[in-house]
Amino acid sequence: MSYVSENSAIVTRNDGALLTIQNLYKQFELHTQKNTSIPIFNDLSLVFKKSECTVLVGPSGLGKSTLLKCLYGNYKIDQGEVLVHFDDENVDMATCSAQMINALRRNVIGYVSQFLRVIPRVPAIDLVSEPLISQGCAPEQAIEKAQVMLRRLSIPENLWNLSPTTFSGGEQQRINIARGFIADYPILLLDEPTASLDHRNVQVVIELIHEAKAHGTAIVGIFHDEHVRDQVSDVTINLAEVAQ
Amino acid sequence: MKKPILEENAVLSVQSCQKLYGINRGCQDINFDLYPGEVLGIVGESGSGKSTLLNCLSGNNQPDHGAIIYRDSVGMAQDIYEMNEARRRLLMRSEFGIVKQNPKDGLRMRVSAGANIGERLMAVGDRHYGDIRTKAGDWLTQVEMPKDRLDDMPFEFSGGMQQRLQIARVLVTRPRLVLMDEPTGGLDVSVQAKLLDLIRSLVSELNLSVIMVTHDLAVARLLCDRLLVMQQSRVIEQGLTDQVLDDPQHPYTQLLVSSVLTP
Repeated sequence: MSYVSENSAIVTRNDGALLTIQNLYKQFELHTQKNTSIPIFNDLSLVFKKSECTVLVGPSGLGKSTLLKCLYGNYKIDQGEVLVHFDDENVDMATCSAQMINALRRNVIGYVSQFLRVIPRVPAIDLVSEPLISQGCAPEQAIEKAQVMLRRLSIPENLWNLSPTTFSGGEQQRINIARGFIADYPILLLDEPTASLDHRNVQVVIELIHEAKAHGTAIVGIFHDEHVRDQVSDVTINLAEVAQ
Repeated sequence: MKKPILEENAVLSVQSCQKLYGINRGCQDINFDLYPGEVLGIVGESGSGKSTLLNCLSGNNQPDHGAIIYRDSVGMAQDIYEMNEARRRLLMRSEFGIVKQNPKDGLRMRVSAGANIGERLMAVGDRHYGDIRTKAGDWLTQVEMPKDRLDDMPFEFSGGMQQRLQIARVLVTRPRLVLMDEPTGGLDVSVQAKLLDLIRSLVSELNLSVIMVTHDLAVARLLCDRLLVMQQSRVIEQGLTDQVLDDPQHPYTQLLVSSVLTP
């Protein structure tokens, strides 16, 4: 049972769910540090729907970033399921192959982290166009879209052909944002994307989020800035209430 | 939304590979599949069996047990140690590319840079001198070396240039599977960055599959899709690179990751 939305290629389950967490358990076992166990999630279940922005809130240390990392396959899932709903089947990220997770990251799930980690010497414009090229987009077209994105995020044109390893924190964050929003992923995870941005660029990120939602993207985000939260949030989940 | 379609046929399938020189010395119980366009990193302490494994995969060291099955460019899958010597040697110099840790082991030091590259081309049947020279020059540019060094001897080059020349020599025949032992080991960081960028772009342009042994977890993070962590001849953990590095499960991997200095 599925349908195609009007203005995008995103097809979903009937209730619009793109991603479901079922009975998730996660704890960290620190073998080298006195065998400490740090429990994070204990039977967590959540649903994320198309065109909805879910905002995770709660005091730090409760696992907001950990949850995003579990959804991106970056952290291992001890128990439970993280289901991505496709037209005629689900893929469980807790058990699928590394090859599948890499394919999901290429085509389905985008992630904007707070830190930029890239190969030195690769120009900003190439980093931003790369997600599109890896989806099979023609390089000229990808570069064109990357230029539009960099311009929107006010990255000065004379920096486009330089490696962002020497950029300021805010500029590096905007490169991450550009990489996250350029490829129209059906699912987008945002870990404090506006943390080190000025007012004008925060406004651009809010616009990008609205555009992605209009396009059908399911967004899961952490935003410390209340102003941003109010503008983008459809559903608010307080991990202090649901995670324990 | 459409489920991504995965490449079903592995380029290389390693099944229960074992080569032991003593108790837990060498490699054993090694199992993995490598798909087209994938970069697999092998990390672990010295003596954990990384290079033994790489030698088994590169046709230089027959395992005691297990199978190393390579699917060639026409789709025929065969154990590399079950094919005849002539075919294996042909594969090794055409579809396989082996980059040695020390460029002196992978290059012929007393013939020119151009001849080093040209030799691999002649080995797969190229005969036209002009073509070979042009291709050699193109590859020199690809690895960011000046074309006018074509007639210089490798021993006149710096270590970083020798390593890049070795990579040009290996890639000129457009191999499908590249095996690298510490490709950036012993190079200063600026040359290392250059090489990382080069390897990354060649992987995506040529859809190469790569297996790389490395000590350097930062290099592994930037280049590898997946990691195998070895300790005392066995793979103790494997998975997505960032998962292994950011959420390591095995005590040894945790120790390895927590011991790295980040600049």
